[in-house]
Amino acid sequence: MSKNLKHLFDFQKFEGNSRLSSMIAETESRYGVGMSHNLELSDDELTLVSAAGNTDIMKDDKDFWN
Amino acid sequence: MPSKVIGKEELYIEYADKVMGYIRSKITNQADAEDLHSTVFLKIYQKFDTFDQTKASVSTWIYTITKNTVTDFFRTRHVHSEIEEDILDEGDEYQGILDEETLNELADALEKLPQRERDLIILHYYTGLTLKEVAVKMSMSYSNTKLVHNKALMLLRNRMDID
Repeated sequence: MSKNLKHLFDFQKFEGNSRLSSMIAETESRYGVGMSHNLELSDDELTLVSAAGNTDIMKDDKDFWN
Repeated sequence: MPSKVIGKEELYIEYADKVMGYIRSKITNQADAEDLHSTVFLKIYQKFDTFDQTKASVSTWIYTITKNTVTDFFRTRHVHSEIEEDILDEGDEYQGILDEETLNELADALEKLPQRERDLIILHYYTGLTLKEVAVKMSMSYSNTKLVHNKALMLLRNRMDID
């Protein structure tokens, strides 16, 4: 049974049965796990994070403070 | 026996999202995922003419190509921790249960489980947490988690047509 479940749930990652997806989303949300919690940022997304968090930009822009 | 015969042109339209969804469930890097997606469809088109749709499900066939392509990717990168060894290279042994009907049967059975058992099954078999990790997440002792796991398997076995 255990191996059958592993194969079925792996197949679910491909097939995306809506009822199963709903139950999975509910469980993973409840425990804070799953793909939506582990996505890796793309290179484009990373540049946006860098820009947003880079306070050196503010320090160098003297006109901003005057 | 599958009833719907699909043409080569329809394959991408019907399966592109499913293939990418599966790849992204295993590989978080977008660039790698896109490369693999292309590789999968290249293989599909190369093998399509030799695939007998009257004898096997297109969905299961494409899933198998996708799964094997992802496995090869991890093997090439020597990322052994990502390879789910126990579902690899098992040939056609499980092909017969990999269909929409069995997924619906699983959904029926899961819906009837108590929430605790359902959560455990999903966290362990879908999300991929070990039972020790499930125990931590669900604030249960490890021994109790194993008991609940066995109970859940028994309930599922009774409700499904597979063993």
